[in-house]
Amino acid sequence: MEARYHPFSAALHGVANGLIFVAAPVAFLRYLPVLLASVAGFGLPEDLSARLQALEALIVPLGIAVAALAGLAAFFSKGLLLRAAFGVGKQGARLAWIFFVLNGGLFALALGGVALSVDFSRLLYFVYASIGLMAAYAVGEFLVYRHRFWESQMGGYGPGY
Amino acid sequence: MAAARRPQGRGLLLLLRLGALGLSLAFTFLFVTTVLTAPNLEFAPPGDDPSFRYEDGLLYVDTAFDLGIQDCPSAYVFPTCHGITNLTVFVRAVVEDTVSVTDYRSPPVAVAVGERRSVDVSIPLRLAPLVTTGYIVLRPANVSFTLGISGTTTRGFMDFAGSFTQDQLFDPLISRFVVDWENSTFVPENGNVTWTVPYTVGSADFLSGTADATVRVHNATSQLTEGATAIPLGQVANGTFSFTLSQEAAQDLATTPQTLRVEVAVTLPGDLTFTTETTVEWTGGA
Repeated sequence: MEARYHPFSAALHGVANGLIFVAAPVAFLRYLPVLLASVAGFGLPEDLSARLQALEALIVPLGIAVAALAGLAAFFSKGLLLRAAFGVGKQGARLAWIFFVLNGGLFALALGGVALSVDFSRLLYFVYASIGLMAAYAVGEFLVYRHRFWESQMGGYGPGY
Repeated sequence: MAAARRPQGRGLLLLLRLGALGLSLAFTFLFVTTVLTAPNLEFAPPGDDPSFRYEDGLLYVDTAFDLGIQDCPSAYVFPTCHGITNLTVFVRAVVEDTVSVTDYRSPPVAVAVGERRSVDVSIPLRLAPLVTTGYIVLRPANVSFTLGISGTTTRGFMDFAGSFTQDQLFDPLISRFVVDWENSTFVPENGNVTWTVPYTVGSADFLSGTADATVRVHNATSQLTEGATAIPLGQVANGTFSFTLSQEAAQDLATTPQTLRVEVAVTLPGDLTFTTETTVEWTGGA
């Protein structure tokens, strides 16, 4: 009989996504600007520091949501509705995370008399489409595997029959 | 227990995963190549001093910018770097931090990788908003110039803009407007007094034609007189203003030291009249 729950896989996915969506960006936001500023020989501007803190306050809960949903999705077997639901939720959280981290693809910087701005919001459509396909994958996986899962659980008589 | 069947539709799932992976790779590729291309953009401000010309109320600053993209240094890793379309040079100018006199954008050009080109720009500065203050024309002005470029790259997926702001002091177009009150003369004429005051005016050498100058002189209570003359532009011009005074006003000027308020109005070709005001400590008649 196929196992319904996979705690090891859940922990693995949760930790891996936690590293990617929480630990790495927090380390990046906290230490890289300080490092770059010290290499360049000036202190981190206060307004930039405040903006980075605000971004971190946004990234951490969203990243925790991504990691938790990834762990929950991995906890359930393929073919279970909860796996699909948490899988779609994870992709939604990823989309929100990327949107907020990259500010929707709009960046503007003004230092002294120099101003730079970049708008790559159209380029992000690739990422959004990719996330959309992964959400579709979560649903498709449920539809494809549910028969096999319930066959393994009930000898061929499960939901969908 | 029945053996688990091989589920149908796994090919579709594989396609979904491959599609997601392909889109992520496409994003990464475009993003990385953009980051690699960005430092290769060359934007050189004009090496020569800009030239100026005046036409119908607009002061044009003519100059040229060199734009280019060096060959992609990472051609072995990423065979394509991105050219730029809709590349424009933009200039904004604000006089004394208050009055915007231009928001110019050059016609868009496309620059391919490895290409260099020069973009001629002719930046019109509107002088009409400065008529009441006389900045640039009659008074020196601090002009804050914002100079930048904007364009679209990464095959149309990314817009960018970069600019820097620099203050520049503009000498007035009409400078050295020296009215020699000390050497003025009073000549009785037909019951009135003609007050003749010599002046010297220098103006920018790119100006041509004549400017109409009107000078109004006020004492503490009222306007005493006014005089007008045509000033040749583009050179240092000497001449005289002639004011007609009543006998009483001339007598008052001749005997009483006082502070005179002098309004100067200069009408440039293009029918723009700029005014400025000054005071003269009048010490007594000639």
